[in-house]
Amino acid sequence: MSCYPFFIAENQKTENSPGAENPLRAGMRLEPTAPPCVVVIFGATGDLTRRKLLPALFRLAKQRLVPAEFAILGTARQPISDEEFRENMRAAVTEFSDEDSLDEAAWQSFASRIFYRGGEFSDAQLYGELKTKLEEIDREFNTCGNRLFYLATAPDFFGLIAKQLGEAGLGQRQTAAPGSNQAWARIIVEKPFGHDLESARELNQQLATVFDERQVYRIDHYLGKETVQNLLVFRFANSIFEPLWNRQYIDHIQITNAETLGVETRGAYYEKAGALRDMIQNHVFQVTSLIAMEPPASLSANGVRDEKIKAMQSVRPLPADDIDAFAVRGQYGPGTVLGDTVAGYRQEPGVDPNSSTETFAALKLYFDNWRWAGVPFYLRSGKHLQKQVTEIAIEFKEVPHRLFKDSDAPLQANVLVIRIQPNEGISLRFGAKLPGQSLRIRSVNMDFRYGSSFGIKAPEAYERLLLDCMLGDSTLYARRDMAERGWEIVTPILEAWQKPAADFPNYEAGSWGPQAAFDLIERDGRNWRKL
Amino acid sequence: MQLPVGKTLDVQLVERQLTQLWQGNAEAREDGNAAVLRARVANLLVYVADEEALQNSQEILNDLTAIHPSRVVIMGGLLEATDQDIEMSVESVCQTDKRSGARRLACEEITLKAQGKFVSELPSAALPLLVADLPIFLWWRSSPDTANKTCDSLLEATDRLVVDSAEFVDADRDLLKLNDIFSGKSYDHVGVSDLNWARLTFWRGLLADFYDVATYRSLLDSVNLVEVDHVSPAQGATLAPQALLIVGWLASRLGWKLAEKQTNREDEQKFVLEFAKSSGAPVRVELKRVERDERKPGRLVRVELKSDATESASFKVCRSNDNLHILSEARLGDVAQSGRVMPVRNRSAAQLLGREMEILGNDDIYQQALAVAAEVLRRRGE
Repeated sequence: MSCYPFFIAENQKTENSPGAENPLRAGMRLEPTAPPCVVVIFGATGDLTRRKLLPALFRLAKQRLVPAEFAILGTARQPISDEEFRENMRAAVTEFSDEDSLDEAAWQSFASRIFYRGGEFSDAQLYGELKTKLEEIDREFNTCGNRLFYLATAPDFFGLIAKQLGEAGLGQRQTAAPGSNQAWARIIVEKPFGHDLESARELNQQLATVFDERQVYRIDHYLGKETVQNLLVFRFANSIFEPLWNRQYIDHIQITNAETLGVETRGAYYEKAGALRDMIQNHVFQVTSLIAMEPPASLSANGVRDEKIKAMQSVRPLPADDIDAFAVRGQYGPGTVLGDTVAGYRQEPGVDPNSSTETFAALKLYFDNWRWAGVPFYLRSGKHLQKQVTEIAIEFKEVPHRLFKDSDAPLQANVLVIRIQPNEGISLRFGAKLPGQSLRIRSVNMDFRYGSSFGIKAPEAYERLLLDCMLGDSTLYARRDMAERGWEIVTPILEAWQKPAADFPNYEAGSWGPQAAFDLIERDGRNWRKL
Repeated sequence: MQLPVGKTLDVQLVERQLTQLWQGNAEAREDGNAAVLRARVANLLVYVADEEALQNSQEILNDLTAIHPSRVVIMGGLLEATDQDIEMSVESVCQTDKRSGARRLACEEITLKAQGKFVSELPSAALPLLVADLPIFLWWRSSPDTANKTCDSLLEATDRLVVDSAEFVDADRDLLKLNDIFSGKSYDHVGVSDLNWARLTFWRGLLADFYDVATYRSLLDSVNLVEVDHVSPAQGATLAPQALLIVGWLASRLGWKLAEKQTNREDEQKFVLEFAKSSGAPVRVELKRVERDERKPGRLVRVELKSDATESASFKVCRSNDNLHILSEARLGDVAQSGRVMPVRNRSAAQLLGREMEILGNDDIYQQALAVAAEVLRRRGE
């Protein structure tokens, strides 16, 4: 059966979409529907599949964003039947869906496309069974040989699964130009992408032996968030900000990713990760690159990602002999968070009582290029901090001449804040005169909130990212060079932090991190924002 | 909160009273944070021709403001009533977030009511009240008649006209009038939206989805029968606007022309149209009335494209009997291919209107579909 999908309207074409058209698609004001395909989930009985992937796929199906020619094939170690797997997924969708009750008819239609094969990821026989099942699904559902492999497993299996897919002939390499009739295979790799630079390169190499880079989608769910996507719009669709977006007007930039949660049940995983690996080198660097990048030539996947990597390549290498001047680590001890007394990190389940794993990291980076020369970027991320907030703050320089010397309070510089969560939005702080005879100036915030302005529920990050991958749009995924560059930047820190931290725990749960983090920024005559 | 303004238009007075209303809103906040952000992303002119529609519009607009904070000017023009000069009232509407209780951005509503000969003065009172530099939408809830001076004056100032052909009192006549707006060069600057067309978007999407699969797509050329089931239209229409528009869309997208000879009505329930493909091959279209108690008048129930080329094939989108789901199914020969069941998304009028306010340009696809529908109406019974 000739099976190439002609699925995207002229105005919805992505870099990899076919050129031919379905005449009924023209001018359709609908989100593009994914092409026929099978999503193969490795780690199908795991938490990520239950909490995020299946609910997201079901929501996409209910909105007709996946076609009738669609199926899911789950695989994991447990030897369960299709029916048992469907029942598990039904329970997951019921529990983690935001709807009050499950739509039975819609679920039955969706569930009839869900299948499962159990086995060991290291066992070639499993891949043979998957291949047979996929061919059967192709025949039954017209899924056209298109496959999306989702690696929702422990990272140790990523390379192994890719290799086995290749050996089983399931990772057909994309050789033809976009728009051809070749069936496609794509692979989504969850975080963490490697443990350090060497392991990331090795994993990239393993993937590259089977898949072309165009087929590899390194997921960073931060990039699926509406506010992060709005960064591009904010910067490049508004002419008033871009002229100020440089060293002439910006004093420094602060990026904060603060969590009130501790490591919860992820102690064993977190012991091998830490805040630098878990958050900074991926999520925070992705956001940083969107702030620091130059305007892209186009909004194509590579157009945007070329500029992001160009920006990150200009990050000044951190001096191995003076890491403490640029990076701070912390670990929470017992404390009180949101009114609850919580244990210290070393008392968490699965954590070494003498652990030196950092639960907080703060960095100072410089970008050695014309736009950002001399402008420090302060980044911080931590667990069990006082407040849940992720934001980017652009702190502008003070006015060049203090005209209002007699004002009763010092003038505060303008700050543009882009909040990623919660209360996604943008606010701008500026000075205004208080009404009255005397000249008193106060800072006021002009606040734009997504939720209250548009009243439209944004899609979940995983919905957006899964659909993008099925559509062949990798703009919101990390490219190989970006994944490795993140590790390159933090390598000197990781090496320095191999030494046990004598002062851990060095911050109280529920505080804003260790004193050293305050010293890091205050040494430069600046302060972290009060959040 | 509502304040009378009096009948003589004083734009400055209206602005002052709106400011007072905003201050009142701010002071009424229970959290002590006496500030409400005043934001507007559009001007929305609403024209209604009866009291019932006026009240109904206000309810819809309250929901709309959560999506599009706007300056809204509602005009109630009761032509048949005793002459009465324009009356005006202003209101600001703050939405309260159901979860947090926080007051959201709001809209400003100015209501102008006139009766009899004074109706034609409504545009001159409404247009000076618009906020500069914002797009102007006109939601016209009456017959779209450009010979009507009020309609003509408002269209002159408007960026986008929004109508709902499901509300047309005489749908056959009003669809033709709507089509005339596209033909008249005076309205080149106006984009046109039809909420009834927007209700068809999901149907069109599902029908288009079939032909993303190349195997099915090749069968589009051999379609020779289209069956459209719909609920009987409201009084005043012989054909349901939704059915006409979906047929118009298929015909215009697939290059079918209305055939020279039309037999049309076969019986009370069925209306038949004959089209010809560019190859000259015929396509028969059957519009059939069906009874569905819970469906609104004129709404689609089933659209099925059939072909009998080398083997028979059918592509069907239909409402489930319980009206809660939409089903799509393809059949090749006697074999049912993969189908889908999706929950129906009944968008409210506010949601539909909100979607239309996201776009400014013209919808060429709608225009072409409407042109076919208008041709059908003009030539029926020939």
